[in-house]
Parts: sequence; structure tokens; C-alpha cells
Amino acid sequence: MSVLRSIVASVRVGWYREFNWTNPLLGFSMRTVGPLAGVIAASSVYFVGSSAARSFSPSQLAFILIGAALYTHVAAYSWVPTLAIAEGKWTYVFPQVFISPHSSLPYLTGRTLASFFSSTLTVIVSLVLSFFILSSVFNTSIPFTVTPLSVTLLFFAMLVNILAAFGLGLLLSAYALFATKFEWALPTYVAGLLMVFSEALFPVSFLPHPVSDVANVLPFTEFMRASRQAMIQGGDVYSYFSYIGLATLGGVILLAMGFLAFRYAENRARRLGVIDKKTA
Amino acid sequence: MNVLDERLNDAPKIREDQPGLRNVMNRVDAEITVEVDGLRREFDSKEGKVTALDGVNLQVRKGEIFGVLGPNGAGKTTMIRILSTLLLPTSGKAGVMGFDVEKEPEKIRAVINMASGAERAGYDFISARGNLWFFSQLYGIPSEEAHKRINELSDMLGLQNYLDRKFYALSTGYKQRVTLVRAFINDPKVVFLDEPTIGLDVMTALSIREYILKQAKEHGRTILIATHNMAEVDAICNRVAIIDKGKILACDTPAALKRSLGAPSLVLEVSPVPAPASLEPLGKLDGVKGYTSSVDEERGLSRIQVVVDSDGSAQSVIDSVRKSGMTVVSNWRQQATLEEVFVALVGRGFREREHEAA
Repeated sequence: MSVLRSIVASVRVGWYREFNWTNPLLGFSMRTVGPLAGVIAASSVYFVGSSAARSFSPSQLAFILIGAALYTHVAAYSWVPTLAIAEGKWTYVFPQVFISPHSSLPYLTGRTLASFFSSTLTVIVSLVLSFFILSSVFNTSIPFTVTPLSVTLLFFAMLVNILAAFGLGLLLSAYALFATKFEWALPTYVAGLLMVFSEALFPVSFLPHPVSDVANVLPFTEFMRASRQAMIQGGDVYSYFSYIGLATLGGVILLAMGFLAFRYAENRARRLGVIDKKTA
Repeated sequence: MNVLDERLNDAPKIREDQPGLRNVMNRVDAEITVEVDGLRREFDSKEGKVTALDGVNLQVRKGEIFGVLGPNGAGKTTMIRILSTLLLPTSGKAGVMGFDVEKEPEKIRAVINMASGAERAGYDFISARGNLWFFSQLYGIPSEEAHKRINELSDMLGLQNYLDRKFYALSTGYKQRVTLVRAFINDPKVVFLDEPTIGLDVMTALSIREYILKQAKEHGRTILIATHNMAEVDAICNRVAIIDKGKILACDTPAALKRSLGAPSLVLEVSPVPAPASLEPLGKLDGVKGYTSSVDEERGLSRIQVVVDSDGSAQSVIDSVRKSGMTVVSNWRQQATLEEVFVALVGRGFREREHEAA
């Protein structure tokens, strides 16, 4: 119960952190512009390139549109534990959280969930907007399946992916705990890699071996595949659930790795005396 | 063991039944809430290993306001960081309420809280009340109870009218009040305060001291304060440990420590302002335990406080100063302060110590 209170309070603080730094409408708009621009940019690059090569395919556009939108979603909230630690050291909130009875894990969970909710909202809005904008500008019909079932399956995939994203977040924040430099930058580098290795913009089979094999088993890749099965015409429920199964398995493994790395880093940070050390 | 140490050990302890004295905690049978045994902490630096704590032993009793007094860099904050489970010791033991900081940090965290005057923890974009509510939830306090405590504690510190302001909009003094409300929000048994009134105006500092006293007196909390503010220690601490270079030099009630010096100290106002090196011979005179000096720039004078063991030593100090070419504008004897206790123990004042460390 006490842990739950910590998580709920941290979700609330996270929500304020996401939207309440200015008036909520402006905050929401600013947070939607990023993913919307990302989706439109990626889709436009594809459209221009494929049109020049006379190989444009609406289903490939749908592939990129879904991938780009969900990539920004994962990138937006998987680095929140790192952010919460780095800014928490600056504001001295993090050391206070650390010495509370349940320490920092419920706090990081709550902050991640808050960011998941907010980025889910902004990504769905940017997905809808980019669908209409791109359909109209490129004068094409993007083959999306929008039914109650497909939307439910998409949300379910997003929920399952929290395991992997939080696991990645904990791995990154394990470094942020005792780092005094570059802890802000590391998630950006990892997010860049994720764009290449998670099938966000192109199938990972295009990558050379053995990189493609590694990318193939990443839970993020399975999440992308499951989401496409749900949202793009021609997808099937059997494939969806097989991808979801793999995403869950990979997510649990990544979460366990993140948890162990974080616990190790906590102890080491306490030994080094950097839990309350401000970053450079 | 120097002369002062012997005196401190031989100094009569204030009895519980003595009226008007605050030393009700000087009982050997009182419950020990904080225990430190041979505590050592080293840090790696570019220059090599730096010893912040060098075999510290300490016992703090239930309901006691215990001061750890020393100049900057003495090891006070390191001790608080270890006791509040932010930092692990290099060696030695530290425990709170019988729990070991190294092996049982989660048990300690349930019964303590901590606040630092230099670090005012809070989210700028949330109100003071919102911040306090958030911290209360980390301790699993039901929301209604949390709001009740926030109101009660804020009342004591005159914070009620500021609770709904965003944290960033509060002045330094009010941010510090929020920090101190937070430090007691979970009804802790032991509270660690690191320089709780640093950088605050006199009135705010006074109200914070009253609040701390009330928390110890009315709720039986143990409060350990690390500070270099001697007035603060004198005003609210039941006992004080004087620390320098990671070692506890003396530990007793403020009154007993001051009494242990024996003779009143000598204060000289001299002109012109002497170079620090020209004062060094003073420390070598017979009967002089140490000295500290400060400059009164407005009056163009230097004030030298000398800890002496007798009237004869005081006179020889005055003679020595005159012989060195300085004019003694005025001199008097005064009741020893805690800084003079430090001077007697170390041979230098806080300022000189910090200057040496820098």
C-alpha cells in the first residue's frame, strides 16, 4: 500500500513535470509538435525517395508512419528514469527520495508511467494528425485498420512494451546514478541506436549479420511488429500475439537486467558518495 | 591527551535534577538512538586519499538535540550523509535506532528524515503544499493525515499563507521552512539537520530554532544538527561534539565545555591590523592555549581572542602584543564561547582552520 502511494504520488509529480511547467494546453501542444514533426519528416523522406525511384507503396508509408510514431513514444519515456535522477540531483529531490523507506524504484516507476501516459496521448494525437496531413498532401490512401479491436490491440502492445522501456530506462539510469557527466546525453545516443535496431523505419533484415540477429530479438522490434499487425491492413491476430509473446519475454528479461544493474549501481553510488552529488 | 581533554573528562556532569539547565539528556541510562563507533570515511581525489572522518565515536540519546560543531571541511556533513544512508562508511560502524547503516538502510529510512540548509529540495513547478504532499506519500502517509500534518507543521513555522505558492516563487527563508516541514512530515524518530539556518536572516533563524526545540521537547525526537554556528549550538543543543579534521575533539554540554576552559578568555582590539604571521608568536607564549582573530574593517581594527589559563598569561599576551609594535586600543576578559573551546582544542579559530584547509 505504501509502495503504491509512492508510485501514485510520483505519477502525479511526473504528470506535472510533463505538462505543468507552463499552462497545460501550451504544454500539451509543445509536447505534440516533436513527435508530429518526426513522423511527418520520416514519411516525407520516404515519399520523396520512393517517388523518385518510382517505387512508392502506401503500405510502406503506413509501415514508416507507425514505426516513426511509436519510436518517438518509446524514446520519450524510456529515458525518464535518467532524467528524474539527473534533475533530481540538481534540485536535491533525488537524495530525499533515495532515503525514503522504499527508496527510488517506486519513484522512477511513477515518473516513467506518467511519461508513458503523456507520450501515449501526444503520439496518438500526432499519429492521427499525420495520417490526415500525409493522406491529403501525398494524395494517397494510407492502409490503416482503425477499429475498436485494432486500437485496443495497439494500446495493449504499448502497455506490454512498458516492461522493456522501463528495463532500458533502469539500465540507463544505473549509469546516471553514479555518473557526473554525459548522463543526459547517453539516452539520446541509445535512442538513436534504437531507431536503427528496432525496425522503426525499415525491416531489421536489411541490416548485416549478426547485427540483424541482435535487432531481431529486441523486445522493441517485436513491439513494432505487433503494433503494425494491429494497425495496418493485412495484419492477423495470430501473428500479433506471437509478437506480443516475444515482446513480453524480451521485456521481462530486459526489466530484470535493468533492475539488477540499478541495484548494483545504487550500492556502488553509495560507496562512491555520488547519490547526492550534483552533475557537472 | 591534552590538558583540556583531561579537564573535559574530569568536568562534573550536570545532574538531571539541577533546575534551569537543559542537560536533561546527560543520563547514562537514556536510550541510545544514534551510535557511531570508529567511523572512518575516505574519499579519492586527484591529490590522493582524503580522510573526511577519522575514527569517530559518538552516542546520541533519545530526545536529545545533539550538535556537531566544526569548521567547514571538518567532516560534519559526511557524518550526516552516512547516518542518513546516502553514503557508506569506509570502515567502522554507524547505527540508528539499533539498525546498521550498511546492512539495514531500509529499516533506518523508515524512522529518520534529513534536511540540508544548503539544499532546498523541491520541484519548482509545484506548490509548497504539493511538494510536501509528494514527500509525505513517499512515506505512505494517508492523504488526509498528510494534509493535517502539513497544516500543523506549517503553522508552527508561519508558512500557512505561502503553502499554495509555487516553490520557485518562495524566498530563501520560506523555501527553508518548507524544507524543515518536510524533514518532520513522516513523524521521524531521528532527524538529521545539516546547517539548518545557513544563509537565513536572524528572525527566520530564530523561528526555525524554536521549531526544532519544540520538535525535540514535545515529540521526543532525537535531532542531530551539524553546524558551524556556535550561537545555534548554544541556543538549542543539549550536548555538542566538537569536530575537526574528521576527529571528535570534545563532547559534552555547551555549558560544561565552556566551563572547562577555566579562566575567562582575553579579547584585544589592536591597531593597525596585523599580518596573520605576526600573531603566530602569541600561540607560543606560556599559558596560551590558542587564539583567533578577525578584522573590523569599518573601524580599522583587528580583534584577537586569546584563550589563556590564568590572569598572568593574559597580561603576558598584552605585553607581547605591545612589544610587537601594535597599539592595544582596548582589552577585556569575557566568558568563554564555544569557539574559544575550539581554539583551546586546536590552537586556531574556525576561520583560520578553514583558511588552512583551503
